[in-house]
Formats: sequence, structure tokens, C-alpha cells
Amino acid sequence: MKLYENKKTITLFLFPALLFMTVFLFYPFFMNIIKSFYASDGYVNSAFIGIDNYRRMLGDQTMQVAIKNTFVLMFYVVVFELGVALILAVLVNSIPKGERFFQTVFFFPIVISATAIGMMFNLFYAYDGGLLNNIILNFGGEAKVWKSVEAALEIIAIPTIWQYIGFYFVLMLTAIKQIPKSLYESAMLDGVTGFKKLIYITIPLIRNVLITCLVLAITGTLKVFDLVLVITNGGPLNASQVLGLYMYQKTFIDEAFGYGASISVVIVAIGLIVSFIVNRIFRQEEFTY
Amino acid sequence: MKKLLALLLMVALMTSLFVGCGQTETDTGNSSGAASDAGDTTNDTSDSDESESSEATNEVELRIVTMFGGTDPSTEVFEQQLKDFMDANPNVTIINESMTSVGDEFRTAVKTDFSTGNEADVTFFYTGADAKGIIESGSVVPYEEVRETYPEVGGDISESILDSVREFDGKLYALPMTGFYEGLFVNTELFDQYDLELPTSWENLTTAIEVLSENGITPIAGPIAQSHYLIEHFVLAQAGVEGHQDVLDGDIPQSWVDGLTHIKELHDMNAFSADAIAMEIEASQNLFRQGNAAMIFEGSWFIGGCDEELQAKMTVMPMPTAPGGAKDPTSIVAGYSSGYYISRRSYDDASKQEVVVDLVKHLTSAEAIKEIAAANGGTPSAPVTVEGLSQVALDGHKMAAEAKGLSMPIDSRLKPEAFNYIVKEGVPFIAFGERTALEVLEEVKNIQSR
Amino acid sequence: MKKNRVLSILMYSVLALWALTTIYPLIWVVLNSFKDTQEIIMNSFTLPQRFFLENYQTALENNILQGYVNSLIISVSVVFFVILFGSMAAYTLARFRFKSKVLIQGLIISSLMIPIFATIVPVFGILLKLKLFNNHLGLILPQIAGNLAFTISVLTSYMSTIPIEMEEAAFIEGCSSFQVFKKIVLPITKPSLAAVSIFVFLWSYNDLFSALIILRTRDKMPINVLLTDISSQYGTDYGLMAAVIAIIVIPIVLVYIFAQQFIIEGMTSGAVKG
Repeated sequence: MKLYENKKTITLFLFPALLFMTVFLFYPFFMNIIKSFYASDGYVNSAFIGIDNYRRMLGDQTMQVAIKNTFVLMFYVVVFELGVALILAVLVNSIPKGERFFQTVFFFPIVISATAIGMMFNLFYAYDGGLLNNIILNFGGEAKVWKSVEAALEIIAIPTIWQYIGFYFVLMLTAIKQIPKSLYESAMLDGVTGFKKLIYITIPLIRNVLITCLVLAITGTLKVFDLVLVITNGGPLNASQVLGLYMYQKTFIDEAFGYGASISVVIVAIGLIVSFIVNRIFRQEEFTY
Repeated sequence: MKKLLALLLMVALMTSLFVGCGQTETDTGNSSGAASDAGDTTNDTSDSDESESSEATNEVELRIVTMFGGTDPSTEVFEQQLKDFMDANPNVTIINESMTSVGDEFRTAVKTDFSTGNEADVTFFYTGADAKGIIESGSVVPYEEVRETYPEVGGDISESILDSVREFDGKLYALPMTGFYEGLFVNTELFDQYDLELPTSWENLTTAIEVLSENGITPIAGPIAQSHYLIEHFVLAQAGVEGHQDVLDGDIPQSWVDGLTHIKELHDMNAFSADAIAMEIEASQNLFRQGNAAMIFEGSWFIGGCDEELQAKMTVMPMPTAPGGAKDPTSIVAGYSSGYYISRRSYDDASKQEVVVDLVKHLTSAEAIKEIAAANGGTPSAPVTVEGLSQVALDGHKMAAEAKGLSMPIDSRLKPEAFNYIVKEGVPFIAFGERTALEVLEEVKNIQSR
Repeated sequence: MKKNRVLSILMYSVLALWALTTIYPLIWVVLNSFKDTQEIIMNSFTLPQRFFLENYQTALENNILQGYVNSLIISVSVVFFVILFGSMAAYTLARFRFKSKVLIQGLIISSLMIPIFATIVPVFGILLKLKLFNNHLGLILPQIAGNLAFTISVLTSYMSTIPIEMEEAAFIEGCSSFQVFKKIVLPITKPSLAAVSIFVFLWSYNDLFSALIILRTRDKMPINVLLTDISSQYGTDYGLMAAVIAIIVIPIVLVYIFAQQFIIEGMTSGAVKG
């Protein structure tokens, strides 16, 4: 349709956003890519070393652990965070009363900064006087070391997932609400109700948003760092080391900017590949109601 | 749409060109006027100040960045010192951008400023490895040069202390205020309770560990996850001052290997708490402060955070020498690791030079040093006596005064990445037997030499 | 009927349980803000022994009103421009056909992954050259850029599911693209615009990292930076931190509760009828 081919409109509409992103995102990231070919302390010393940083990555044990952990975390996030968010959205959509209350309340964890949530969970997990151990001791059990090598990844997965469920919940609920009631009505006339309604009508119709959520969740996991920093700092023994945190540590704590930059390039590359695969699998058709 | 893309790329390119062609020396809003004389500062130096400036008394604005910000113990004192200076020099406005040095933001902010030409006129920053880049880029002015025109700058500070902060080129770039010492802090009440002798020897240390852990007291509050102080002390215990200062550019010193391995040995003896592996420095400090641990490796700043009751039953002593170790019993990790820098740009600005120097003189007077030392418990760089110190603080100062050898911490000599490797990938893995100290140190050497 | 009852109770229980986990932390923070640090270390999950107001006193000693104003200035500006530019761009990507569409979509997704600390140093250099150091605009511009990727992705997926007929009708009647956008598309996407705005506002409000590097003097700092500055010290004063969090968080919770009204109205009215 002619409306949708007006080049002037396209250019004008896209221009401001792209300008901002180019100046403040693409260009700096491009500089970052260049920096990944240097050994730099980020401030004054810098020496070109070609692909040395990448070679180093191949042999870097911590990097390998970080990659593995990040993927495991991604899995947890997709299954639990998106899963629970979807269930909550559907439930809230189905109840006659109290919708507004739940919507408001589910949002709260997002409002608190990641650092604060980290601190809070630290007080849950603390060996001496932590909430979990206090409860256990009350029931006559023995205090457990929660931040152990075995459990560390799950320990940080819990707050990471918990905090943002409200976020995906809101996105999904908004999408569900956009489904015209008329569709449901005609479905009911056809005898499709309850669970079937969910599987065959609701979910397919919010597909686009679900896929976006998937992509957001995956890319978000790649960047996770402040929660982990506060709770375990990647330990113990790298059990909870993840890519985002490793990059932050290398860049700002170890001041190995060149190496940190190369890690960020790898993060973006992984993200692109995974998103591409996701899009391929769940191929989005453009459709409207 | 090729045209669209081309247009966008051009805009992006133009933007970056414009940005790239901008001056690197940006005037970050400092209004410069002729400097006015700052003749009546509240410092104790009896020598007369520079002759009155004959220039017009225009407004001067200075930026200063220090770590006396946030709720650093010295913040109030410092802000008062600035206020006093401004009261005495009404034409001078000082913009204070200080922030606490806890966390990484302070170091990042200062270094970013210097590398982007945005440094403040006066900066109170670390010396040693952190300052190397700044010094090499010529952004700060050596005091030898300043003293050619203003000979009394930093005059209250002991020469030997000034010598200890000379940089790799032999010049002095920072005027230190307070120093620190590190040592083994002991809860004497717990030791008395179990009839234990103070850990002045390795044997006493291991005996105490055995007895205490049998009785359910954590012997040492040691954060295996953030083992900076453990590393310093255990290496020192084995290697002595000279060995401690090895920068790993030759063979891996056996003393370091043994020193780090001792941490594992003590870990196997249950010297640390059950959750030490995930513990951070603050948590271990709390453990000691609540009387649940009998010993802790910490520094002079630690005392201020302990309440009076605890301070009364605390003392501090040097690390005992490890079996076969080269350490003199009195040697400790200590030194001065920070000081006031004057930026080259500020000093070369004729309208600011005198004011800046006067400010630094004011801030480094004996009186100022005494005030800061009283606030943060460090050792003063000028020969003044700090009043009102608790017994343990006095013990600490005595320990520092009597030490035959003082060595700056290892993290002032190694690259951050190298030292952090020992902390994160070293000690925890060594303590759990997953890596040997030798392996770890070899990788550290690798990183250091890159 | 009974089956529905049981189902109903089940649904409410699940929701209530989850609501508990989301409300409790806020209560916990507020309760702890009335305790001093020692008490928190020993017993962080009980009611405070007495109302220890010193934490709030310390926090409030500083000029925090200025902090709120700064936060408001920054975050509202960011939201405004992100929604403006983002919705325009999303509309283009949702509807229009043009050759470089796939490339641009790819670019946007890849920028979702760029971690802030990979770009902060070059961005800081740019800001310095533009003389935007210690200037609100210096923080607003990068934040706009940072939030655009998310906004465009989300809005595009919402917009692509709006029935196309209304736009076609309007166009046939002679409306220009701009008018179609302004009069038809925007109103219909109001609920998603609202949802996105809230998140963008939140992220801008809570952003600590870039704010610390770009804004240096207390009079310019947004509230969260100001209070972080205040609460950091040797060792950690948990009580002060709790008070600080409460001061930062409570206003925005109130704002959200208030804004909720519009979102609900928007959502229920926005559903296209028939």
C-alpha cells in the first residue's frame, strides 16, 4: 500500500532514533571493538596486540566456565521467568476482581535497584543470622552454607529471575489485553474454553510479544552483573561466574580494558547468534487481527 | 534504502568528525581570573607566604577531588578545612567533587578524568601502580619543580616519609597525609578465656587455632573470597620484607609458594569459619566485631569501626614469622599510599598557580595532618601527636614505629589484574586444593609481564 | 459451579502467594530502615525494637529535594524523547517495507546486548568534547540511546498486531502518514506506550553507573546517586542503606500506583472493538 512505502516518512521517522543510537551506542561500541585488539589499561597505556586477546580467551578457563554458566542461567530464565510470568498474566487476566491490585504489586521488585536486592538476598543467604538459616534453626535443623560451590549458580539465579518476572508479566498482560474480546466470544461459541482457549487462541495471538520477551530475556542474561557482583562476585571458585560479570571485572576491577573489550564483543556476538536462531525457529509472520 | 543508509552513515561520520576535531583540552568551566594572594591560611608554617600578588583580585575557581567524601571518616574534617580556606580567601571558590574510596567508582572516576583531560586542579589519589599512567602522561607536576618557587610546600611532612612515596623516576608527585599499617588484630578477652598465649609466634598461632576451633570460636575471621590481607600477611610471614617486594619478574620465589600454601594448611585446620569461602571483607569484619572470631588480619582503619567496648579488649601485633621464613618478627606491611597531586594544567596557569599551591599548603600543614589522622586512625605524615587514641590504636602506632621493616602492600606493585588473580582465582582454589600455589603464581607472572 | 469455585480459589491463592513475595521485600526494607545496623545484623526479619530515626536523619541531612528534582528532570526527559523517537521508529519497522529493514532490525537487536560499561569510556569522551560534563543533558542523551533499543523492539511487536484497516481507511480519506500516525496509531498503542514508559522511567531513575561518572557535583546528582554517595563508608551501615533505599523507592512506588490508573484505563479502552 502506498502509505507504507513513503520514503520520506520512513527516513524522517527512523532518523532521530538511529542518530541517537549511532552516536551513543554504535560508534562507542565500534571503538570498543577496536580496543579489543589492544592491551590497554583503559587510561593511558595502550599497545596494539592484534587478536591476542581472543587467543587468550580460548585458553581462559574462567571464560569457559562463564559461558557455560551464562547458558545455564539463560535456560533457567527462559523456563522460569517467562513461564511464571505467562502463568501470572493469564491468571490475572481471568480473575474477575483484584486485577489492579495484583498488577501493581507484582511490579514492586523491579522498582528496587539490583544492588539493594542483592543486599537483601545476602541477608537471606547469610550463614550467621541469615533468614533461611534462622528458619532452619528454629525447626531444629542445622545451618547450611548457602553460597556453596554446588549451589552458587542457583543461588544467584533465584533473585535474577524473581526480580524481573513482573516486567515480563506486564508486557505479556498488555499483549493479552489487546486481543479483541470478539475473538474470544466466537471461540466460546465454537466450544473452545479454558485450557484449550489458552493454548490455541491466547498464546498464538501474543506470539510476537512472546518472542520479543524471549529475545529480551536472553540478551538480558548476557548482561547480568550487578546482582551477581553483590551476592557472590562470581564465586565461590567461579561457580557463579557469568559473562556480564566477568566483563565488568576485567574492565573495571582488573583494568584490563583490551581484554574486557574483547569479552564484550563475544557477548554481543553470542547474543546475535542466539537471537537469530530464536527468530528462525519461531519465525515471525506478520499478521494482524 | 541505500539512500537512507548513506544519509545516516554520513551523519554519523560527520558527528564523529566534529567530535574528533574538538579540542582535547576542554575548558571544563573553570573560570580563570587573576589569582589573588592567599596570605592568611590557617596553617602552622611560620614562614611567610609569597609576597602579595600585584594582580587584580579576580575570582578563582578550583576543582578538588579527594577520597574524603561520602561517609569517609575524614569527610567532615576535610570539608571544614576547605571552608576555612575559602573564608580566608573570599575570592576563591572551591568545587569539591570528593567521593569515598570504598568501591571502584573513585578510582574509575579519577582515572577517567585524567585520561580525558578533565582532571581537577588538586587531586588526592593513590601513589604507586595506580598513579603510574597519570605520571607518565605528564598530567601532574613534581614537587621538586613546585618547590623551586614555593619552597615550603609540604614542609611539615617528614622527609623520610616523602622519600617513601617517590615514584619510579625518583621524583615526588604526591604529598601524603596519613599512612596505614596492617597487622594481626587479636581479641584478648577470647585468648584469656581459653588460656592462650598471644600469637607472637607461629606455634602460638597454630595452638590458638586448634583450641579455639575445638571450642566453637572461629579462630580467624578470614574472607577467603576477598583474601587481600591474608595474602599480604602470609607472603610477608614467609618472605620477609625483601621477598614481599618481589615483582615476579624472575623465578617464582619459593617463599611466596610456601606462604600461600600456609593459607591452605590453616584452612584445612578449620582456622576459618564455615562460610569463609563466600565471605567478603565486611562480613569477616562483622564476625570479629561481634566477638565470634578471635583474630583478624586488618589495617589501621579497622579500629575506627569497632566500638569502644571491643577496642578495650583488642590489640594488634605483627604477623608471626612462618616456619623457615625470612621475616623479622617486627616487620609489617605499612606505608603511605596516597597524597595530594597538583595538576600540570593548573600549575601552568599563571592565574591559578599561586592559589593552588596555597591550597595544598593549607591542606598539608601539620595541623591539617593531625586533624585527618585523628579522624581516620592512620599514622600522621608529620611529626605530630594525635590525641585521644585508644590503647589498641596506640599499640598500632607503636608497632609501626618499632618495625624494623616496612613494606607497602603487594597490590601497590603488581598490576590490578595480576593481584586480583591471586585473590579471585588463587587463594580460594588453593585453599580447596584445586590449584597449587605454584600454578597460580605462574599465571600471575604471565599477567604481570604482559 | 463448584468446579469454578475451586478453580477460582486456586487461582487467587497462586496470585496471592506471588504477591506476598513481591510485597514482603519492600516491607522488610522499611522495617529495617528503623533499626540500627547492629540490630539488623543480628535480627533483620523482626519488627524493630523501637523506631530508630537516626538513619533517616542522616539521610535527610543532605539536600535531597534537589536530588528528587534532578531525578525528575532527567528521567522525564528521557522518557519523553524515547517514546517520541522510539514510537516513530517502531511504526516504521512494524508497517513499512524498505530494503534496509532487516539490517536496521539487526542493529537494534544487537544494541540490546551492548553492556553499558563497554561504551561508557568513549561516551564520556564524546560528552566531554560536547562540553556536557556534569550537565544533565550529558546524562540524558546516552540514556535515551540506551533505552531506544528496548523501546523499539517492544513497540514494534505491539504495533505489528494492530489491525491495519483503520490506518488504511484514514489514508484513503486523505490523511498523510504523519496524521495516520498521530491520530490512529498512537492512541491505539497507548497501553504499550504506557507500559514501556514506566520501564524506561524506572531504568533511568535507578541508573547509578553512568550517573556517577558523568555527574559530579551534589547539586546535579539524581536522588539515587546522592544517597549512594551518602551511604557508602568504611564497613556498611545497613540501617542507613535501608533508609536510603526506602527514600529512593517509595516515591516511585507511589507514582506507579497512581500511573496504574491510566494504564488500566488505556488497556481496557484500547482493546479494539470488533
